[in-house]
Amino acid sequence: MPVEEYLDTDSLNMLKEVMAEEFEELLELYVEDASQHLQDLDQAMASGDCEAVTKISHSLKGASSNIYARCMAAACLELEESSREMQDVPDWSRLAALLNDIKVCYQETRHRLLALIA
Amino acid sequence: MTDTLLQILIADDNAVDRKILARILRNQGNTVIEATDGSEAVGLFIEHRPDMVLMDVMMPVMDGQEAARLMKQEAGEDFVPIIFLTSLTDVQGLADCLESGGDDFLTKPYSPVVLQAKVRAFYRMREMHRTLQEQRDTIARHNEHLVYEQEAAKAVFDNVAHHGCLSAQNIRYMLSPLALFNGDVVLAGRGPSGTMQLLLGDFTGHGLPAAIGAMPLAEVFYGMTQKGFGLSDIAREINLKMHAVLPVGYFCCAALVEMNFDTKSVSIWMGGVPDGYLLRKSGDLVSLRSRHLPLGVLSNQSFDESVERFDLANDDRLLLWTDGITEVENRRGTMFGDDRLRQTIEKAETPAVAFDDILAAVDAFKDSHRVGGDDKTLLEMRMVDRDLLDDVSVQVASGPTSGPIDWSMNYRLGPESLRHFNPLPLMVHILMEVPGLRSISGQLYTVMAELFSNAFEHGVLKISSGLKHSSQGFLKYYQEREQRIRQLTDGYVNIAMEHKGNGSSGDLTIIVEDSGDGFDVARHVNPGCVASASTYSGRGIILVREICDSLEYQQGGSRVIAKLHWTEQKHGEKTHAG
Repeated sequence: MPVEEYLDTDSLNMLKEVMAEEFEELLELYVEDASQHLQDLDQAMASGDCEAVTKISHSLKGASSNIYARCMAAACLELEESSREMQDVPDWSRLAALLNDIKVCYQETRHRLLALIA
Repeated sequence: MTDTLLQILIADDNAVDRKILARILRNQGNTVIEATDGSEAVGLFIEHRPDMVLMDVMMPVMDGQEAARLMKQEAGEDFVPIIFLTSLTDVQGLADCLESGGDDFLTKPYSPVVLQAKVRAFYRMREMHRTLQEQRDTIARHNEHLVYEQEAAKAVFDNVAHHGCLSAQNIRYMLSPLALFNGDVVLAGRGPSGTMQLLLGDFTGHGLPAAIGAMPLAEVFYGMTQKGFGLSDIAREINLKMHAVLPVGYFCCAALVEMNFDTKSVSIWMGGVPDGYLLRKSGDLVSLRSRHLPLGVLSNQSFDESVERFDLANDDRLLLWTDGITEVENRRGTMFGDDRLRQTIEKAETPAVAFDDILAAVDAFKDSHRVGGDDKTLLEMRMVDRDLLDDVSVQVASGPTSGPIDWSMNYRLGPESLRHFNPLPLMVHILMEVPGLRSISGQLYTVMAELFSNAFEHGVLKISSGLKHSSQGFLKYYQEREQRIRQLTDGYVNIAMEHKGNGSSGDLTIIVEDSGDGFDVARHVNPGCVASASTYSGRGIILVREICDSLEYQQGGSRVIAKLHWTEQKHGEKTHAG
C-alpha cells in the first residue's frame, strides 16, 4: 500500500514545522502511547468491558488524527462507533476483528513513522 | 493585533494531543498550563485563573463537562472562555459540550491557523465582556453618585425652604418627595402683616436642570415674603431672577397667591399653569386662568405683574395644580385632561372632599402598574379666620449683634414714587439693622404699614375709609385705590425715624406726615369708639396703639408720632416695653 494510505504526508510535514525540535519526541510519544492503548484494548476485550473499549479507541483515534495517521484514525473510529452501538449486547467477535484491523494498520504506521525520524 | 500573551489551560488525558496543542499555543506567544484530568484542571484553574481553557470532554477522574461547570461557577462574573476539544464525528457530544457551559469546540486534527483565530476571537470577546462590566460598574457608580447628589441637593433645598408654612391648617398639598427633580415646587410663607403667600411652580424639564432654578426661586420668595413685599413685587423680582439665571428655553410656570385673612381677599398671579379653580363654600366654581407667560420668559421691561383679586368668604378654597395632574395618561395614552378634572370637582359631594376626589380620580384613571405618575402636584388653600393660624413668626437670620443705635433719617416720597413704589420693606429693613428691634419685626411692620397706608390712602389719595365698610367690600376699595393712584399728580408722604439707645435698650420715634387735610381724629382714633374698633380699619389703629408706647396725632391728623421703647431681656431676647 502507498504511504498516503497510512499517513497524510503533507500535513505531517506542516506539523513537523510546528513542532520543530519536539517533532521526534512527539512521534516517539505517539508510538509509546498507541502501544499502551492497544494493550489496554486487549485487556478490556478480555474482561468484556465494552465501555472501556469505546473510551480507549476514542482516545487513540484522537491522537492518531492529530498526527495525521489516516488509517489508524479510521480504524479506531470503526471500533469506537461499533462498540458504542453494541454497548448492551456486544458482538465480541466483530469487535475483535476490528481491533485486529487496528493492529495491522498500526504495524505499518509505526514502521513509517519511525522511518521519518530515523 | 499584536501577539497577546494569554495564559491558557489545556486539560487532556492524551499526552500526544496535549503536546501538539501546547506547542501550537506556545509558538503563538501564549503561556500554557497543562492538566491530565478534569479534577486537576479545576485545581489549576482556581490557582492560576487562566484567560482561556481548552479541554477534552472525555477524561478520567472528572469529565470535561463537570469541570466546565465548576470553572464557570468559580469564574463568577468574569468571562473565561472554555473551548472543548473533540472530534467532528460526535454531533450529540458537541451539543452536550455547549450545553454544559462550553463556549466553542475545536476538532482534531488541530489546525494552528484555526486555533489562532479562535484564541484571538475569544480574547476579543473576553475584552469586550470586561469593558462591558467596567462600564456597567461605572454606570452603577455614577447612578449611585447621582442619587446621592440629588439627596444632597434636596437637603440643601429643604434648608432654604423649611421656614415655609405649608403645614398651616388651611393648606393641603400633594407633592412627591423627589418632585424637586420633576421641576415641581410648592412654597408658602407668611408676611409680617399676617398675609399668607403661596407659590406653585413647575420648571421646564426634569432632573438637575429643573431643580436648580428652585433654589434662587425659594430664596427670593421667602426673603421677600418675610420682608413684607406684595405679590406683584415678588412676581416681578422672581421673573427678573429666573430670566437672569435660567438658560434659554428654561422657565417656570407658576401660580402665586396672596391670601389676606383680615380683608378676606386673595390676589392671584398665574403664568403658564393649567386652569385652577376658586371653589366657593356654596359649591360655585370660578375658573382661574393663567393670564401671563411663565416666570423667566419676559424681560423686566415687558413683564406684567398685574394680579387678579377675589373676595373670599371663610371656607372658600382655591385649587391649583401643575400639568402633572392633567397630563396623567391611561393605558391607551389618553390624558386625564382639564374636563375630567372640572367634572370631578363639580361632582364632589362637598367642597371639602374635592381635593381627595381629584387624587382618587387621577389614580383610578391611570394604570396602577405604570410608573412615573409621581409628578402630580396639587394644592388647596382655604380662607379661614386669622386666629385659626399660628402667629406669624418672622424668621430673621442672625445678623450682627451690634448695629446702628443712634441715628435719624427723613424719607420723603413724592407722587411719582408713591405711584410705583412700596417703601415698607425698605423702612422695615432699616429698622431691622437695630439688633434690639429684630425680634419685634412683625409688630414694627404692622406699625409702619398702618401709619403709611393711612397717610397714603386717606391723606394723599383721599379715599374715604367709610368705603371699606360698604357692601362691596375691599374689592371696590382696591378699584378706587388703583384708579386714584393712576391719576395721582401731587402730594407727598414724609417718613421720619429716629433711634437713640445703647446695647441693651432704646427708643424709636416714627413720624409720618402727609400732604392731606387730616381727618376727624376724635372719631376715628378714640379707643372708646366700639363701632370703629370692630372694623378692619379701626382695628389697625388699635393694634398700633397696643404696640407703641405712645401714639399722637397732630395737624388735624395729617401728622402722627409713634414712640416705642425696648429693653433687652435675659437669654438675649428683646422686647418692647409697650
